[in-house]
Amino acid sequence: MRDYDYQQIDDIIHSRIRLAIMAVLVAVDEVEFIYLREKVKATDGNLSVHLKKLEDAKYISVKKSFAGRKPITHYKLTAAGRRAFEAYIDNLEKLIKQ
Amino acid sequence: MENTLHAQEELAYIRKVITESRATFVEDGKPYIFWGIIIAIGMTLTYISVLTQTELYVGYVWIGLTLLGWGTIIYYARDKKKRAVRTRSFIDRIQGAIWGACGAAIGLSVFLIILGDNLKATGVPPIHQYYICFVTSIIVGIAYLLSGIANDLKWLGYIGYAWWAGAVVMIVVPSVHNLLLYALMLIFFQVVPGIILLKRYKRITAGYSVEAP
Repeated sequence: MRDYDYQQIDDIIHSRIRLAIMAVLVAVDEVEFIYLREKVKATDGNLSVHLKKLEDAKYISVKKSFAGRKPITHYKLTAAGRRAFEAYIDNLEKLIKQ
Repeated sequence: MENTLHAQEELAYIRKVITESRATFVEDGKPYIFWGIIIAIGMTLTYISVLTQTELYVGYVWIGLTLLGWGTIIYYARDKKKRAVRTRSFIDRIQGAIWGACGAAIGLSVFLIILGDNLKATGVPPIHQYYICFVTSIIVGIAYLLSGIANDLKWLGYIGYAWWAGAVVMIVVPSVHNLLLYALMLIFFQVVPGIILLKRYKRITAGYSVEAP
């Protein structure tokens, strides 16, 4: 059995909520905060903290707009985020094959 | 061993989230079924009217059906927009663009052909109304072919070839019965695919619930 280098695991993605966020974003173009909250089943505060971490890592981009007077926040996966997610999946698959 | 099990669970979870998110954009087939029925009714009435030489107020029927069709589609689109406002996908936009563009092309073609007599004054020879079925079949065929590619559904793309085959028959064998042929094409190449898409949509969207592993 080969040794698995745990350092290859991306800590930013390796959290249940952030993993769920990335998985949702990889499937769609753009999502609204409320949609993410429903999908991930997290509280507003908790979700915001995890989104901020992904945003700081430049894995997601944020766009704020208004629908009438109502503010809407959209999230989108960046190219760097997509690459990181794919690398994360590759690592998981390698781990399984070991 | 524990790590491997955890990795497998994570992969299964990721797959589930991705599949569910994509299911938001699965084509539900309702516009296909609706338009198919509306136009098939109009075509059948036109066919009976022409064949029996009876006045069935076909012109008014077409106006009524068209208004009903557009009214329902606008309601459906607004309802779908409400549901989809929280997400956007590339496939969804492509699908909207395909049917929007083809719908506009059909509308313009039918409008120009119906106005044929008025075009005489401009020196442009009019196109006989018989060709409405031919022209719309060609355009609908294009929409199906592109929709098949956009949704990654080969069988949906093949429906496009069926529409083109029907269009060829209309030109090679010109007959009043082609109005009935067109109505049948609407049932088999529009309503039936719509029902298949609706069943697929229900199957894909049934019983999803995402919870963290």
